[in-house]
Amino acid sequence: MMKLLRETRADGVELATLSGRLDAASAQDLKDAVTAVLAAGQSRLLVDFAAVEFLDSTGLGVLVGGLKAARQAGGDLRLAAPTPQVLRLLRLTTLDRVFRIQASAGETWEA
Amino acid sequence: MDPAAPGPCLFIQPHYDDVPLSCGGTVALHATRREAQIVTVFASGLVDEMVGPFAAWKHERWNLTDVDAVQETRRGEDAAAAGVLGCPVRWLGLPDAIYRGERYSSDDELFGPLRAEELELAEHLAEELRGLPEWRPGTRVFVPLAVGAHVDHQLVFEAGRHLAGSGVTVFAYEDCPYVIHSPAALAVRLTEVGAHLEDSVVVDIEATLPQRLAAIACYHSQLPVIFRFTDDPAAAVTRFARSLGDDGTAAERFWPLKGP
Repeated sequence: MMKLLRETRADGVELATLSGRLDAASAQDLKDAVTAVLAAGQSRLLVDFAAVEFLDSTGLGVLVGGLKAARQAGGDLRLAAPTPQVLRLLRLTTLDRVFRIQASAGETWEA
Repeated sequence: MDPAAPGPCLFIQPHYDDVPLSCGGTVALHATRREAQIVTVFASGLVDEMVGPFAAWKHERWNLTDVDAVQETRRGEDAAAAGVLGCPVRWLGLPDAIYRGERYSSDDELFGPLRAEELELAEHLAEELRGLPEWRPGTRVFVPLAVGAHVDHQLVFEAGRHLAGSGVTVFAYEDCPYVIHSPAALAVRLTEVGAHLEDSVVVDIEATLPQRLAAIACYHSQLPVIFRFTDDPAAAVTRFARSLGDDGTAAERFWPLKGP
């Protein structure tokens, strides 16, 4: 079970705050949200993982797909506050070298 | 332990095509009861940073220029093969070995020992499989034996060992066509991991051999590479299957993994 809240930060960055499990059962919700954001012309996406209990590779696949699409639109998809389990999977897959990772969702979006 | 006994089954394949190639007949038997699900593990998309020097060299050798188009083709073939076998397929999002940093930077390494840090990834995969929507109480899992020693196959085998260690019934299937064109590789692999295996068992697939062959034929883009050792893939697979069963009956062979 995953909850997803979307908001637009004051600096225009689209923030998706997740809680629960981002896995095969829930990844489609994030994919739909990323697609909707990009379709609306926004390309700077930040996904807040502070309350994510578990990330699996299907969720990871959605993040990679979202990153690719955001870049094609001239922006980026970044991760904020990943929990130890999320960081572990990023490290095990070496995708920690691919995503820009922020300490918190409130951090300034650096160019 | 009977791999053909009724009950929910997850057939785990490292890459698109491994399960239909190796044990498609058994999948089709389970699929008649709607109890089979194929899961493709290394089916991630790609971004530039994932393609290091070794992967770039591989892409050049494969004349691979449009990664997205290739993935679409491979998934289409995988879905078609699963359809022929009568079951669904789920694609996970782990990156292939050649896209996992610099862990494997040559073909020798790609078919060599699994890196120590990858054992942790195998443990994660086991946990992930147990969390799939298709997982049911009593689910049995089929993983590659890793004949041929491709590291992605070894990693999935290790995930199977984790599951077996926690009480799940797990069977290892022999990787075709590795085992057909390099039979000595089977003996090598059994020497390496035999301590974790029970004696092999065979499943009669005479009735579903045509489905396995038809499923294999769905992988149009891969057949010339996979079966470069023969000009008649169907005959090679049939001959091998008939060498396993009693009195020339087509069969597939499995090794149950030892439990806790």
